[in-house]
This record gives sequence, structure tokens and C-alpha cells, in this order.
Amino acid sequence: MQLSLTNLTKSYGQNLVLDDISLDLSDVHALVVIGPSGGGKTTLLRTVAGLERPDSGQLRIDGELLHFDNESLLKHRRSIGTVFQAFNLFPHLTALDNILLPLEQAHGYGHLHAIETAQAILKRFQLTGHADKKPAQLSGGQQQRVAIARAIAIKPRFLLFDEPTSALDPEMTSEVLDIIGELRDEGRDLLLVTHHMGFARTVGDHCLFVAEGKILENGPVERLFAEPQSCELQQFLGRVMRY
Amino acid sequence: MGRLIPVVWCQPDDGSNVPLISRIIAFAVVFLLVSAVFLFAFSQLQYGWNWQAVWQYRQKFLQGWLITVLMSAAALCLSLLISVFFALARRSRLLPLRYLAMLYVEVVRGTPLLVQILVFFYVVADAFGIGNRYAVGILTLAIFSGAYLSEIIRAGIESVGESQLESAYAIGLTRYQTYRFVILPQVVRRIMPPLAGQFASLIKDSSLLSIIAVSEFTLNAQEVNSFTFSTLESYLPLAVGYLLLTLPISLLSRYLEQKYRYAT
Repeated sequence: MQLSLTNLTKSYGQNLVLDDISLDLSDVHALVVIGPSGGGKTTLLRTVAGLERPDSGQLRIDGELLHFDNESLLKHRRSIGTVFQAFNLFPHLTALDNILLPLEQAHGYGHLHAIETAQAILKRFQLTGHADKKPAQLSGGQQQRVAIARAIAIKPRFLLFDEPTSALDPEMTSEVLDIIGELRDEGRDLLLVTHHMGFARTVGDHCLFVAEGKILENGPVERLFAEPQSCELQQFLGRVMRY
Repeated sequence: MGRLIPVVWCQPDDGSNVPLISRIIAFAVVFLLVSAVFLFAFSQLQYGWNWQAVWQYRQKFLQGWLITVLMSAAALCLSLLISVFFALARRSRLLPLRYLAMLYVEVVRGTPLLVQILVFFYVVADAFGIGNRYAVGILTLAIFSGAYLSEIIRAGIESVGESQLESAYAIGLTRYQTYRFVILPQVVRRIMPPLAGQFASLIKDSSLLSIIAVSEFTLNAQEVNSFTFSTLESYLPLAVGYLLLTLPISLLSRYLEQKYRYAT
């Protein structure tokens, strides 16, 4: 995946969340974004997801300029898979129907084709037995796996994960991280915002350290973790790695 | 506690279901006590009951009751349409629409139905040449009820939450598809109970249409009273007649609340 940001700025009222961000990455496959809460990581991901319009600046993915009109954003969102911290499944739909909805409504699959596709993915994530359950009947880990299944069913260009394990307890965290790792090994491109430094280090090939609305440091994951340059990153790693 | 108050009267501590027999006994006792109070009150009354005179007018009661049922049903359907429009208008990005919805809700909810009926019938309907008092009655009721319904619907839509909208957009649904497949089904589940309650209110509120001489249930009871001078005999059946309509709705609302509580 090629990702290029030019002077990206976004503020909510007085609060500047993305402060003139520029970045040029080519040939990344697993971009991990780390940094303190409220530093702009999630806004950055949401902008790449086409869920947020920047106030100014440009965003290019694989050389293609993203326009921020409704039509283009819709098309863009249909081409990628986004997984949220709070799972965001539709509570009134079963696991299977959650996966069918985008396939049938946004991607024009026929009903049978959609069912086949959805069932194959549920099987792969060992969720076949849960296909007819509503989200409330599933554990957090299972819900997040359904959400990931929903995101990859549409064969996205790449996947975006916004702190996918922050709402999970440790045991369930690993079942979700395993899947993300597998997807990465399959060669799917992904962008991951996470607080799991260990996981970021194993799964990522490139890393951004985002704080105060800026990319304070960026480079290969190993380099950032082994030799942090900025004192913000040093402090941040010191705090999160202490325990 | 358990010793002072027999177990049969209490909800178990563990929150489990009370056995049916306990519920029946408890309800019967309460019902009898309340009845006893009213029976005593009525027994003290120096009143010459004359059900005979009122019984002659049973046909009139039935007709009035049917008119009330029909007008309420018509007003309900119309108020649903009105309220959906205003609930959406309230969320519209078009400011005039939004303000129109706010004005509508606040004015209608803040003024007495009595005044609304009078103004609509004698001023607005007159000016626009709508002569049919039944049509005006249905319209006024629908507008009145629509204000409350639109707030119920708006609250329902807002309770669905940003994260649901966000994930609907994220999977590539259009605005229309988001409303159709994500918001609407969840809103319907949530607003069914208050909607049923509002319908029960609407049925009772229709009694005020008697002031513009719509020949509905209440007006007929009033007329029977003026023919027979049997006030209580005319109005007690009126209460029963409304209860026959509102009680099933209230039970339905209770049932829906139970049903959807776990279904989300």
C-alpha cells in the first residue's frame, strides 16, 4: 500500500486534532500507529477510512487522490474494511445478517452468493455455530471476530483497525490479535491503531508515533522501538513498557 | 421481613419470577380493597339510580363509541405520518425545516388541546373552507398527537447512537440505506411501548372533540345525560367504554416492552 498525506489538518472547534500532517509511504503492508490517547491517532485512521473530512490537505492512497465529496467518500468506504474499538455490530441483526448487509446492499451480491461468502468466512473464523446469534449473545471476542469477518467479506483493498482490542479482556484480546496476525501473514495490507506495543512490534512493518496532532516519529517498527529518537517517544515507550 | 410479611407478598430477593398463584392473590387483594373504598363511597350516596332510562340509549352509546374508535384510528395513522415527517425535519440539515419542527412541537405540546380544537375548527378550518367537523377533528387530533409522537420518534432515532451510524457508513451504506436497514428497525423496537401509550392518550383526548359537536362517545354520553338527568349512569359507561379501548393497548405496550427488552 502506498499512502501519502499532504498538509492534512483537522480541528473540532478550538481543538486542533490533526496539525498539518504530511507523510509519504510506499510499499507498507502493516502500518501501525501508536501514541498517547487524544493525540490524533484515531482521527488519522478515520480520515483514511473516509469517515472524516479534513479541513484542508490531501490524501492519496496507491497514488489515487481521495476527493471528499459524498459520492467519492462512499465509493472509498466501500473499497476498504474498517474495524472499530467497540465492535459496532448491528444489534438487531444476527452475526450472519451483519455480514450479509454490506455484501447485499453496498456490493450488489445476490442473496445466495452473499450467504455462501458469509458462511465461508464465518467457518474460517470458527463462528459457524454462532451465525444465528445476535451480538448480545456473543462474547466480546466473538463480536470482534464477526466485525472482522464483516470487514473482510467484501474483499477490501486494505483493512483499518481502530484499537480493536481495547474493549476486550486479555484472553479475548489474543483471539482477536491472532486473527489480525493471520490476515497480515496472508498478505493483506492493514493499518492498525493499537495500545499493544508487543503486538504492534510483531505485526507491523512500519510505525507512526502520533501525538499532539503531529507525526512525531515515523520509520520501520524495529527502529522506532529499539532506538526512539524524539524524547516524546522515549517517554511514551518508557511509560507503556514499564509494566 | 419474611416473618412479618408473608413470603407470598414479596418478590424473591434473587429477582426471580413470582409464582402465578402469589400474583393472582396479591392482585385480587388490591383489587378488592380499592373496590371496597369505592363501593363504600357509592353506598353513602343518596342517589336514585335509574339505569333503565339510560339503557334505552344503548344504541347511541355504541354509535358514539364506534365513532371514537374510527376517529382515533384515523388520527393515529395520520399522526404517524405527520410525526415521522417532523422527527426527520427536526434532524434535517435544512435550518427552516428544523425550526419548523421545533416550533410545531413546542407550540402544540405547550398549549391545551381544547384551545387547539377551537382555533382549528372556528378559525383555520373556516378560513380554508373545510366544513366537515369530523375531518377537522381527525386532523386536529393527529396534529396534537403527532407532536408527542415526533418527540418519541426523535428520541428513538437518537438513542440508536453515533457508533451505529458510523459503522453503517463504514460498510458503505448510503444515507437512505442506513435509515432503512440500521436505524429504522432499531427505532421501531424501541418506540413500540411509548407509541402504544401515546395511542391510549389519543383515544382519551378524542373526548374533547365533543366541544365542536363531533358526535363521538363523550358527546353522546353528555346528550344521554341531558335527556335522562341520570348523570352517573351516563358517565360511568363512558369510563368503561374508554377503558375497554385503552386497557388492551396498555397491556400490549407492557408486552412489547418485555419482548424487546432482551432482543437488542
